[in-house]
This record gives sequence, C-alpha cells and structure tokens, in this order.
Amino acid sequence: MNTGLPPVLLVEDSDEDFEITVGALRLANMRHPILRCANGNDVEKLLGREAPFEHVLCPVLILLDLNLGGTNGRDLLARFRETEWLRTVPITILTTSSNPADIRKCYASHANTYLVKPVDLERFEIMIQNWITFWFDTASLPVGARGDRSAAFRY
Amino acid sequence: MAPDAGRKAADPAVVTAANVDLTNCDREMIQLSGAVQPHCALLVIEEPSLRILQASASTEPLFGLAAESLAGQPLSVLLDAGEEAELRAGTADRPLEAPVHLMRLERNGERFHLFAHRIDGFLMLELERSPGEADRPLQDLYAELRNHLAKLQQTPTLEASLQLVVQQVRQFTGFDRVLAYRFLPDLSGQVVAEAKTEEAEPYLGLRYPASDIPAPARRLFSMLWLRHLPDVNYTPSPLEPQLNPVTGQPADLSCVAGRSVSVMYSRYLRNMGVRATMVITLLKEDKVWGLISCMHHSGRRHIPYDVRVACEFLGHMVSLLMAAKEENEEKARMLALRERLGRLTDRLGKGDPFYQGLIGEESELLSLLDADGAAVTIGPSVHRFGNCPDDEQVRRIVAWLEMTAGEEGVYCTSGLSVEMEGAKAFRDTASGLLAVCLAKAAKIWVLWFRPEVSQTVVWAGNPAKPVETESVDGEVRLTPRGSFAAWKEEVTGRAREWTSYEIRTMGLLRQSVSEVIARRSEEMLWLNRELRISNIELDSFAYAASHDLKEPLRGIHNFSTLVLRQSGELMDPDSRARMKVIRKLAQRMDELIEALLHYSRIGRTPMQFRKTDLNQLLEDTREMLSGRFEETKTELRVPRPLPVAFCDPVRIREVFANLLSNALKFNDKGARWIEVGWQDSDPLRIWVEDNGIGIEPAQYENIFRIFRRLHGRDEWGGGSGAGLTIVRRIVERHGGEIRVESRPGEGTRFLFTLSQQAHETVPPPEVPF
Repeated sequence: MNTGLPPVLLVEDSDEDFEITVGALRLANMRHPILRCANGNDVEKLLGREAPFEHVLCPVLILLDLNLGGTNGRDLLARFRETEWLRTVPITILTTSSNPADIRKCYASHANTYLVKPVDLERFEIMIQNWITFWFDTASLPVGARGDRSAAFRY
Repeated sequence: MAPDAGRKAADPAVVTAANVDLTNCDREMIQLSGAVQPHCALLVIEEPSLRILQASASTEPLFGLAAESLAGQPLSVLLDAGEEAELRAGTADRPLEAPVHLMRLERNGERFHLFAHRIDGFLMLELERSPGEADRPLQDLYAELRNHLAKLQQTPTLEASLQLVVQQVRQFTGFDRVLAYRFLPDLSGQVVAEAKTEEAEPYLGLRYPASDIPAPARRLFSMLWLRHLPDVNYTPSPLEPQLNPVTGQPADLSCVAGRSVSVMYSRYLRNMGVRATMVITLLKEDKVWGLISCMHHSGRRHIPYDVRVACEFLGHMVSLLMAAKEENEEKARMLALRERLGRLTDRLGKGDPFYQGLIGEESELLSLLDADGAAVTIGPSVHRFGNCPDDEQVRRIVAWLEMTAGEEGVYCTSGLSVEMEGAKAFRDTASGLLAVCLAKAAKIWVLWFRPEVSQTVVWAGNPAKPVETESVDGEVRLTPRGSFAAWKEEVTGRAREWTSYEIRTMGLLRQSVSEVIARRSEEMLWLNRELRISNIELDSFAYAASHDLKEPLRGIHNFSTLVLRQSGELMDPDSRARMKVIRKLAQRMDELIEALLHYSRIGRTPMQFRKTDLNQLLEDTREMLSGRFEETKTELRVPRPLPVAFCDPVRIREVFANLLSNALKFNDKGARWIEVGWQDSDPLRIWVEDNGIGIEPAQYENIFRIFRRLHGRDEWGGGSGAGLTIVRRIVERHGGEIRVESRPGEGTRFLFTLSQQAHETVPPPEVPF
C-alpha cells in the first residue's frame, strides 16, 4: 500500500490494540500508511532515523499510547517534542487512563489531543472516525508535512 | 516623713518618747530618745578638742560626776592621760561608723568597757559597766565558737541550724528563753526555733502580727547586729543638756548600744512578762530575715560584752550560712521535683494520647506539688486525684478559668471562694487553686487544690487587736495588748499560699507538655509524610492495575465484538448469546474498575472549597436527571430554599446526583416523591428523603460498602454499587458525616452534615502523573 502519502505513526506495544486501532483507522477510510513503534527503543531509533527508520517520511500525525511496557509515555511525548524534525507533528494520546492528572500533564507536555479508549469497540470506532474527520478534514496541518518522499513503510 | 525633717524635738510632727502612742509609734524616732540605760554612760564629744558637749545623767551614779557639770569640760576630767592617749590613737584616722571597743577601764572597783563611734561629725563615747560576775575569758569562748561553727556547717537544714544557734546562745547567756523568729512576707513573724527553761510556756510555731515590731524597730535591726536591754524596768538616763549645744539638735543615738528603748517596746516586753532581753539580727542578702530573740522572765540579766560578741558572731555565721542552706534546700526540692517531672514527661511522651500519662493510675500529679487534691480535665471529662470538688464543680471551675485565666492559661489563688462566685460550696477542698492550661483547643487543664486552713494560724494574741487602752489620770492611752495567750484565727476561705517554687513547677510542667506536643506534631508530620507516600503508592497501584486490567478487558470486548460481526451469522443462537454475555460482562467489569478509580481519586485529589449555593447544585442535578424524574413520575419537594454551604460544588453535586438517583431508582410506589430538606445548625444538616422501598436496619452499614449491592445486579436499574461509598467519602472529606434512617417499605432518609464556614483542611497529597 504505497500511496506516497506521509504515514500516521502509531506508538503501541499491544498487538491486539494495534490491530483494533488499525482496523478502526481503515474502517474510517484513512489512506495514509501506518508506521508502528512497538516500544521505547523503536521510538528512539525513529527519532535518530536509525535502521529500520532511516528513510521514513515525517509522519503527518502521531498516536501515542501512554502506557508502553517499561517506558513512560510522557517521557516519549517529551522526546518527540525535543526532536527537531518531529516537533511540529500533532500528537494524540490514546490511552486507557481517564485520570485527570494524566490528562492535565499530557496537555502540559504539549500533547495536542487526549483520547480515552472506551472498552466498547463500536464507541472506539466512532471515536477514531471523529478523530480522522477532525485532523484531516477540519484542521490545517503544518505545511511540508506531506512533502517528504516516502522510502520505507512498515505496514 | 523624711528623717532629716524630724530633728527638732519641738516639732509636734516629730514622734519621740515624749509624745509617742499607738497611733503614731510607727513614726517614733526611737533613735532620738535622748537617753541611755543606767548601766551606760554616754558622752557626746567635740573633736579634735575632746571637749564634752553632752553627758548622760548616769555619769553621776557610775563615776560620781554630775552630768550638768560635765558639759563644756575636757575629757580629761574622766580619763587619765594614758587613757586619753589610747583614745586618740584608737580614733584617729578611723571613720568609726559603727561602735568599736576601744579599752577597758576600772573606776571605783568596777570595770567598764569603752566604745566609740562617730555620727554627724561628733565622737560618741559609751562607757558600759560590766556586770558583777567576771567576764568570761575570750580564749574559752573562741574554742567553743569554733566547735559550734563546725556543727553549724554540718547541719543539713536551715531549721536545724537555727535550733542549734538558739541552744548555743542560751548556753552562752543563760537566758530563760531564746527563740529564732522569722519575718513572713506580710511582715508578721513566726517562731521557728526555741530553747527555753522547762517550765516556760512554749512559743514555737506562734505567729506575731506585723504591728508587734513597728517599722522603726525593723530599721534599727538592720543597723545594729545586737541590742541588749539588761533591765526592762530601768529608769532612762537623759543627756544633759538635752540638745547638742553646737547644732541645737538632739543627738542621734542610732548606733548607741545602751540607747534608751522605745517606751512602746519596754511596755510590750513588760506585758509579755519579760525582764531582760537581747536581740540579734539575722540578715539574708542585706535584708532583715529574722531575729534571735532572748528573753529573761525571772529577773534582770546583763550579758557581758565578750559573750555578746560571741552571740553576735553566731548570728553573723548563721546569716552567712542561711543563703547557702536555703539554696541547698531549694536545690534539693527542685532536684526531686525535676526528677518527678522527668518521669511524668516520659509518661506523657509514651502516652497515647499524650495526656494519658497525666490521668493514668501511676500519675504523680499529687506528689508534684504539695497539694491535697488534683484534677485533669480533657474537654468535658474530669479525672480526679485526692480531695477534690466533684466532677460538676471541677467543670464549673474550668469554665470560670477559661474566662478569667487570660492568655497564659495560668491561674493561682489561695482564696478561690472570694474570687469565684459559687466557690464557697467547695472551699473545704478547694480554697487554694493552682491551674494550668496545657492545650487550649483540646481544653486540657490541670488543677491542684488546697483545702481551707481555718485553724493553722496560731497567733500570739489576737492580731486584729494588738493594742489595748489604759486610763492614766483620766486620759485614755493605748498600750500593747496584755494577753499573749495563743489565739487561733478563724481564717475562712483561705488556703496556704502557693510558693514561687510551686508556681515555677507549673511553668515547668507546661513547658514539658509543650515539648511533648511539639515532638508529637513532629511525629504526626512524619506519619503524614508516610501516609502521603503510601497514598501515592496506592494511587500508582490503582492506576497501573486499572490499566493492566482494562487492556485485556478491552481486548475481550473488542474481539468478541469482531467475532460477532464477522461470524455471528454462522453461529448457533446459543453461542451467539454467550458471545454477547462475554461482551456485556467485560463492559460491567470496566464499570467496576472505573468506579474503583473514581473512589480512590476522591480520597486524593484536592477539594475546591468555596461558598456554594446548594439550590444551584440541586437544580443542576435535577436537570441532569430530568429524564428519570419524568419517566418515574417522581415529585421533587424542596420545602424551603437550601442554604449556602462551604463545600466543593462539583463533589457535592455528585452527592446529590447519587442520592437522588438512588431515590429515583429504589421506589415502587404509585405516587413517588423525593424531599430535600435541611436544618439550620452548625454544621448544617441536609437530608434527601424518599417514599421508596426502604432499607432494613441490619443493612445500614452495608450500603456504604463498596460494590456491596443489596439487590440483584439488574434489579432496580443496576449500577456499580460504589455510589454510596463515594458519597460517604465525599462527605467525610468535607469534615461531615452521613447516616441513613429508614422504615422498610415506607421510605429512606439520608442525612449528611456540611460546614457553613470555611474550615481548615489537610492538603491532599500530590498525585503522580
């Protein structure tokens, strides 16, 4: 599925959740390729454009799970914001936590959206549909987000 | 009146022997008596000519020289050349502010001692005839004194030292009675040691009113270490001429040992049956502390000069030792006390709560102070030790103290019945009160009581009537009272005074307690920190657990949904139904986890207290639940507008939402209603009442337990079973409480309290993430 479009980055350790999220994105007709980082190591490699991420295009949006095994999602959020070439990419936190403190702190660390995953699949699918409608059809994304040429896609 | 103004005998404002009476004896210028006792001869000498200016009439019987003829004569008429030379040598270049023994003389077979001192620029020569018996050799006296001195230093207490001294003085002088007399703060005096003949009536322990020793006498005591009156019935021997021819003033006889005494004094002594006296002053730190008073009842008694010196020396010695001994006694008392305080403080440190150490069986409260009763009050509860007023009376005393004791929270009286209204009722146990407030907010007071001392003061004669009148030639004159029989004063409503050392003790206790409280609050801070850490850990745990639990849960839900979506058509109806149950159970479990999280969050997140109109919260809730109200046709009754409360509006809205939705839920009546009412009290009492199905009393506590449902999961509309648990936690975080009253089948009333005013709240811990 090489569309030449910049990818949506999905940072998610759970294969099941990854499958469900990808299913929901596809159900909503999202045509951008999906790039996955399954853990903190992957993210570090991506940030440094190391293999296997040396040729990736700059993602158009990032979906970040707050609870990755062994890594604090908020640290990753900060790492994204520190990294020059990814600094302008909108980050959406996708998590099970509805803790107000988590929500407050993520926004304080410059997250752009905070989504709480509902247990109910249908409600989750609606949430993802709405998210896509907002970011791709309503909001304006930074110029240049689509300009990079794609080389390697993992999905 | 200034003493200088009183040097004119003619001035009617000057009180001397000529015009003294009981109304003015406090002002009598006894140093201006203008006369000496007949065993002395006094010469007022002008220097350097050594011319005699005044001489006492006693020169005639003692030396055969008429006093009138001596005025203006040179001293050589009395002293030979050798004696005069010795006198000049002994007085030259010496200030002689106090009398000095210059020499012994012999005249007509009698021996005399010559003393000299200067006053107002004149040389005062006093010639005292030795008593008939031979003077004791000084060497013996010295040996005895040295011996006594060693004994004095070894006696442990002041009282024992004084007892030793009066015995020694009596042994030296042979007086019938020698007693040590101590001035009390009110200037009355008490006999504290006595040595006497067997048949003499004991005076030990008697009190003498202040008027018995008038102020001028006390002043003279501090000027002269020893005064001696060998014969109370003497005839005064006046100076001739009466006034100093150079100054025109009477001579100042303050330092003359043989000065004629106040007529009031000699009359007083005669009334006591005393024929001869000697008085030694006891000084402590330059203040008259007391007297060694010698009395002879059986006849006149003249004490030789050397013996007087020895007695005076003993007086000096005991005066010097006094401060050290009193200090030692005080030290020993303070030491013992500090030990008891230390033990008490230890117990306070271990007690939980700290005041347990005050009220426990082993409490040493009573031994801490010399009191007959003690009580500790903690709020309304009273703990009594020894002889005390009853609980109700103690509470009344504390209530009164709270109004009276002022900021320091310390109060001390020896006459409570006079100061506190209604305290007469318990004056037999509590005339004396020493009270200290240990904790103002907790109303912790410690009180010590002393009983009324109606019979402890034994006066030597009635102190209220120290004088009597006598009629002399038809003129009424006051005299010192005649009766010295012991007289017990009926002192009502007074207890023994508290000493400064006892009041200090109380200060120490207060200090120890505040140290204990300070240490406790440090411990509390530490525990709070621990609690905060453990709360944070608990929160982290709840957070992680919820995430970890929810993830597989969501997986179960998601995949059962996908299976149903993709293969539902292919399944048999039973399998399809079971897949749906799996999905529903996953959802249910999610609700439970959410409720648990919510509950734990309420305990930790800060409450946003502010003045809140409860009507607004109720209206919000009604709006939120309007569908349910319509559906169930339930009437919401608010008999009168709700008040304003100090609370977190978001949380209290949650309380209303939970209570109202419960009331909506658990009702099977045809005409349903919910009433929200309140009672104007502090704190406010607010209730939500319904006419629903009610709750069995046995279940009152269970309904507040988390996930404890009284009904089937799907009966009465379901729910997580955490609602009331959350409600209770919210109310408790507001410092209030909630309870339930119900009649099964008729209805339920939930009643909770809320503060009207701002109050202190413990800041909740910082939440992680």
